[in-house]
Amino acid sequence: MSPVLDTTLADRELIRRAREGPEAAVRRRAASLLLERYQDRVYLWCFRMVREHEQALDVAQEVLVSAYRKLGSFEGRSEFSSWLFVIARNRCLSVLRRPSIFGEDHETPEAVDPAAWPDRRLEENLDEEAFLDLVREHLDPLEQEALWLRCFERVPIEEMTQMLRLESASGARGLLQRARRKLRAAMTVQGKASR
Amino acid sequence: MNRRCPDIENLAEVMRLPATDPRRRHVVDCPRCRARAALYQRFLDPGAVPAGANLADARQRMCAALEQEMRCEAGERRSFFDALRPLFQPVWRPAMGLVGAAAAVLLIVRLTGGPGPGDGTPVLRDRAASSRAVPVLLQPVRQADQAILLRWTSAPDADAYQVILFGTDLREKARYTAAADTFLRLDPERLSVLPASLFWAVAALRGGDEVGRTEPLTLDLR
Repeated sequence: MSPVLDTTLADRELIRRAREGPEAAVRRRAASLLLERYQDRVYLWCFRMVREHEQALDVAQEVLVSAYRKLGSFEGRSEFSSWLFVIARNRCLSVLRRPSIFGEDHETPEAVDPAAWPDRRLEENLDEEAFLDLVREHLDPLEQEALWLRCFERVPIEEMTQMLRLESASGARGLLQRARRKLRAAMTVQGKASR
Repeated sequence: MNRRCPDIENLAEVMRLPATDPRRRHVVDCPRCRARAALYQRFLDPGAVPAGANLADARQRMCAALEQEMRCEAGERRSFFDALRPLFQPVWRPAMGLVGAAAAVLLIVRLTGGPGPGDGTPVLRDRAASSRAVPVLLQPVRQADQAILLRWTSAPDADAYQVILFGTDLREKARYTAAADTFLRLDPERLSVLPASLFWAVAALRGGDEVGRTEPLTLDLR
């Protein structure tokens, strides 16, 4: 029978008991309570990212099992929720395809007009820091966030629409299209300047 | 990472700083940090259950996965001496005496030059897997979106599984890691690149090593 633990214990106390509890059963119960507390969030997060129940569940289970295995290495320097979020985010990133930064969504890079795309290899060897500067310089805040969410955090269009409180998915696509167009133009100018 | 961008783990803490704090101002100004902070907020407050999500099923299966992981771990961490303790109960003492005597006889035979391994011939570890390490394949299920769910029973000795797909020539076509799950979904995208007729098997792993494998079974993807 599972040992009884107060279900209202704070995360930190559950972590402490999961790591230092007097018996294995108490440690397991504390870990179980802690992870069950977050399992809905983990699953919903994964579902919003991968948009399919079975795959979301696969990923969510991996996240929880991985968190359980790593609980001993959690140093408590941040909140447990942010630590778990990092695991979930990394796991989702590994299963989501990275959308093209300069091309359009659902298009292969070849489908983009080469004249409008300064250097196809650039995307493969992209320096995130340099790109960050470019984004900040040429895009407005909403375009910046939309592009970052879509291309670097791999957030699906539908989810991005909700997060940015846009009216519709087509509005989000339009926003991305505009951001990409501006970036391509900026990079063309930059490319010409450096020649 | 930009020198000023905080780790994702610390974003929440930075966002609680006063609005005038330079670290918080950075998060607000930086597209990368802003996007990550928004995502973390979304994680904490996921809102309504989206269409297509099945939270009840997810809860049940996530609990089962965690329970299985904890059972596995409990088995692993049982110490050698804990495992031997029942053998020292009074009821087993006569049997332990006999085992000790037999061991002494074997030792004498060995020391007096009796036959046995250790004469320089390499000894291969028996690869025959015990039933504790071999899962049982269950009937695959075709799902509404045409994906196929491959399922198998858990093996007590395993901590992860791999699904191996073979062509009809029994050459390996694909291998997928299912972690500690006892199912693997082959979604239509994956199926589209596979031949229609295959064989499938599941390898049970422990600590990354294969400890058992099922016999291959036919798998019809049509």
